[in-house]
Order: sequence, then C-alpha cells, then structure tokens
Amino acid sequence: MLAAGLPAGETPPNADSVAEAVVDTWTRAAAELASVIGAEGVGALYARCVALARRTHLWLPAPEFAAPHANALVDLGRVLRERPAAEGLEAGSELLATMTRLLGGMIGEALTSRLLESAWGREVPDQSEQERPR
Amino acid sequence: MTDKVSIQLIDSGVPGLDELLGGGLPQYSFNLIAGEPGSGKTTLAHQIMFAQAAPERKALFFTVLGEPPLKMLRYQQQFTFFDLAKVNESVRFVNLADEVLEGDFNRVLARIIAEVEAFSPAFVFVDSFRSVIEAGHRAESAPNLQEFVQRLGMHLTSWQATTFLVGEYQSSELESNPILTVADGLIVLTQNVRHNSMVRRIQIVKLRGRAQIPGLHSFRIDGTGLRIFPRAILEPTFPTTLTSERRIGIGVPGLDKMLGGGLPAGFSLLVAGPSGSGKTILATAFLAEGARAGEPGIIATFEKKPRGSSGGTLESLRKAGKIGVIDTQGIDLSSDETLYELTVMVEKMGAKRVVIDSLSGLELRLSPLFREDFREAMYRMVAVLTGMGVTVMVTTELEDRYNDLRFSPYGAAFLTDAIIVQRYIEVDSRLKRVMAVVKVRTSNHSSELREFSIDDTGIVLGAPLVEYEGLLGGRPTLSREPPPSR
Repeated sequence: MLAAGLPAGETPPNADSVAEAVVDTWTRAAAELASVIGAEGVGALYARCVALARRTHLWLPAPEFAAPHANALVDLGRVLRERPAAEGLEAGSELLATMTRLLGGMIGEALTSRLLESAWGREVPDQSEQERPR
Repeated sequence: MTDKVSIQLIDSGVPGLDELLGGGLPQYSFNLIAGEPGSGKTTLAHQIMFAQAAPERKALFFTVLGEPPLKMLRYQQQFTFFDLAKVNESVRFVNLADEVLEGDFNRVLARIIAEVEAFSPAFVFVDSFRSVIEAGHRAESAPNLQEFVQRLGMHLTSWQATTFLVGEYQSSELESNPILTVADGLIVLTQNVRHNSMVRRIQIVKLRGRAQIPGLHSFRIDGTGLRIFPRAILEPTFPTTLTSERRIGIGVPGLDKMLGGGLPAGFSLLVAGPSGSGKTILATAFLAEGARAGEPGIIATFEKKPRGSSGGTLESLRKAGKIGVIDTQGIDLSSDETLYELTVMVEKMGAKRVVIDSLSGLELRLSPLFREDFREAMYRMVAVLTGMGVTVMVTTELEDRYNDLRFSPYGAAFLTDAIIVQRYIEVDSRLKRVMAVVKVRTSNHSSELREFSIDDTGIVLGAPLVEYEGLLGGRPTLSREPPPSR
C-alpha cells in the first residue's frame, strides 16, 4: 500500500518521498477511521501501533497523550526524513500493517478491509500474509 | 383532491415486531428505542438497519458515547443479520463523540445534518441519544433539549429519513421527557429478573397513527438477533365457546361413543390422570387418527421424549409431515413464546389438531414470572387455538387422591369444553386403570367408568365396572346387587 504513494520510477526511494508516502497513507486511513471511531479513537490506535513498532524501531516518536493526531503525524514525517529511506519504509510499513492487524483482531479482517478500502482503494493488505510481531 | 396520504409501512426485519407495530414501521417516523443497559436496544437497531439497508435505501448509524464503536462492531458482527457487504455501501457508521464532548448541540445537529446531506440515508440511527443529552447537561449553558430534538426531528423528516434514537431510559423516566412529545413511536425494552430467571420483554408504548398491540411481549436474543413473541390478544368478539355440528374421531375404539359420537371439532379437551396412566398414548392416538383423516396435527411436548410405541408413532408421523412437533426441553419459557410458536405452526401446517403435553411440564419450564399468570395464560392459549378452528387436547398430571375428586391442579377444568379423567384403582390387590368422560359441553355423553388397558396397539377400553362401587375412592368394593343381565 505504501508503494502506491511513492513516486514511480524512483529506485530506491529517497527519505522525503518515503516520509510523504507513509504520512499520506496513514492520514487517509485516519480520516476514514475517525468518521467511525472518532478522532480520539484513531489517536489511541496510532499510539498502540507506535508502541509496538518501537520494539524494532526505537527512534519512532511516541505521540503525546491527548494531543491532536495531526501533531503526531508531523513528528512522524520529520523523523522519517531523518532516517535512511529503507529503514523509514520498513518502519512505515510496519506501522500500517500493525494498524490493520489490530483492527482486524477487534472487528475482523473483512470489516477492516471494507472500512480501509474507502481510504486506500483495493490495496488493503491481507493480514494472513503479514508477518505478525511476537 | 380528496385522497388522504397513505403511510407506507416498512418491514422491520425483526420476527414478531411488525405484528406489534400493527403492520410495520411507519415510513419517515421519528422513533425512540429505550431500555436499560443490556436490554438489546443496539441489537434491535442494528437488526432493523441491516434488514432494510440497500443501495437505494441507505442507513446512517451515529455512535455517540458509551459503547466504543470498535466494541459495538465487534459484538454486532456475531449476529447473523450483520452483513459485511453492506458496510460503507448502504450502511455507514459515523462517530459523534468529538462534537458531543463539546456539549454544543448546534454542532452535533450540524454534523448530523451534514452527514445526512452527504449520504442521503432512508434510515438514521443515533446510539446512544442519552449521551448527547447528558453531555449537554454538563455544558456551561444547558441548551434547550426539546428545541434541539424538535429541530432534529424536523430536519430528518425533511430529508425523508425514518429515524431511531437509542437511549438508556426506564419507562418511568420517559413520562415527563420532552422527547416523548416529539417522537412518533416509543419502543421500550425491559429485563425482568425473578429468582434466577430473566425474562426480556418489549412494549410499544406509543405509535402515532397505528394500532399497536398493547402490553408487554416477551422476546429472546439469540444468534439471529431478537425474536419477539407477540402476546395473543383475545378480541371482544372472540368465541370462547364453540358449538360444532361436526365430530371428530379420537382414535381409541369405543371412546368416541363415550363422548357422544366423537369430540366436537374446535372443542378443547382436558385429559387428566396420574403419572403413567396413558395420557400421552391417548394424545398420540388423537393425532394419529387426525393424520388418517387428513387433519394435520401438532404436539407441543414439555415432557421427556415419549418412548415405546407412542414415541415411534409420533416420530413416523412427523417424518411423514403429518404432524409438527414443538419439543421444548429448555427452561425459563414464556407462555407467550409457546403460544406464538404454536399459532405460527398451526398456520404454516394448516393444522386441525393440537396437543399440549402437558400443562404440568409447561408450568415447570415457565419462567417464575409467567407462573403467576398461568391460569390466565392457559385460558388464552386454549381460546386462541380453538378460535383458529383447531381442536385442542391438553393433558395434565393429576395426583391420585382418593378423598379429593379433582380434574386439574390448576382449576383448569372449567376452561375446557370436555374432560376425560384417568385414575388408578385397586382391585384384587392389582392396580387397574379406569377412564371416564366427565364433561362434553352441550352434548350427551357416557357416564360410565370404564376399565382400560394399554398394549402395543394403544389404549384398549374394557367393560364398564358396573359390579363395583366406590371406584373413585381407589378401593372399590363389589356391589351388593349383581350386575344386570344382558
């Protein structure tokens, strides 16, 4: 799903385009989910995803409690630009995969896909094919 | 123009609810679903929504505070009515928590209207509406709730949306609630706990422009959602006594003659007797005779499964589609549920005969809440079924008391048109069975006490025990006078 947000033909992508793709992909999902679970619900989901992803990417910024979700995404974009593109891509992918996995665990994969399809089109990853963190 | 507007009724998709509503949900109505936490409000709302939502009739479900939306979606998916394919296509969930937490009703209203404009739903649900109101109370300047509700109702009606506000309210709280004056319909769900038993009930307190069925009606929630059992109401003109020219065979040779030529069709017959006296066997013969005569039957059994020849006969009749079986081994039943299932099956099968075996078993399985009204429930059950033109046989356990001549432990004898009683007596140090026809309303009948036995073919009537007296005392003695010679 991140690949769609990266400029075509850029191999490998640079850190700026990775940061933009990660933030944009998450923003589209957040907008769709906020309609269903509220902005604070999205903020809570993001905080949990970051907490899990920080086990392997300790440099990911933990969001401030109760701060606007947009602030957290600004912070995310900033640190992604400072990291090597490959590392940023891996962390961003993990964040998004964790989000779909957490949602899938709560409301089922099918409903998660339906909700995120509006944001990402048909690019919602099949969670059964994801590597799940221990 | 003299044509009056005709209100279209919408199928609620909830078994039994449309009957309560007098046909269905009035289109464009503004309704309140109220009840205690856990009473099934959200499930009812979802069931209606998924039943009706389609691309040309979309539904918006606003969640407010209370149950987190993710939890709601998680749990509601457990019901079979939750159709994933409809989500975001014809069903859209919208969270209003941010607007509500600010306590600004105008902002809440504006968001609802904006979403309605964007999605053009035919159905709008707000769950829970009480959260909206309580958030308003917490705000510094308490807004005018009635005005807010009226504006919401006006906007949603203008957008041609049938609306449901879901809220945690008790009936008593609603009496002075301004929402009531605005709402077209008020559906209240309750849970009544008695001892260890819980009974769910639903009431249509208000419904503008429709004749709803009044009173409390029991319902269950299972994997399919709510199933409501509308309480059968006897019309003022309901025939409680039927006179019938036609007589039907009861299936035991000789017993029809004792009844005066068979049992009048549409009558109710009480068969009372002690344990093991042959009541279920008589009931089986009654149904088998019906099957032979082309009259489908139904047996509602609340006893252990009949074994032996009765069990085999009933099973083969069921397999042949000649009888329907309502086999209830559960507990905490409601009499409404039992009667509703019976009436539905009677209509479906075109049944002419119904057996309830037995009242004693039914009472044991009823929730304590319904045992208090057992006699009234029996009266309705018999009256409703015979009112449908069905001939009803009801069995009841009767403890043999030889100093006390009774026909039913429930005082049910006067409820039925005919009574057959079975008893044990002691003759020559042996237990023997006797049977008598005690009553057949508006008909002559035998007054004989007949010995009977039970073999592989069923009940076999013997000769009248005319040489004995004191039979009903349990220990008869030989009469002084010899029996008249034939």
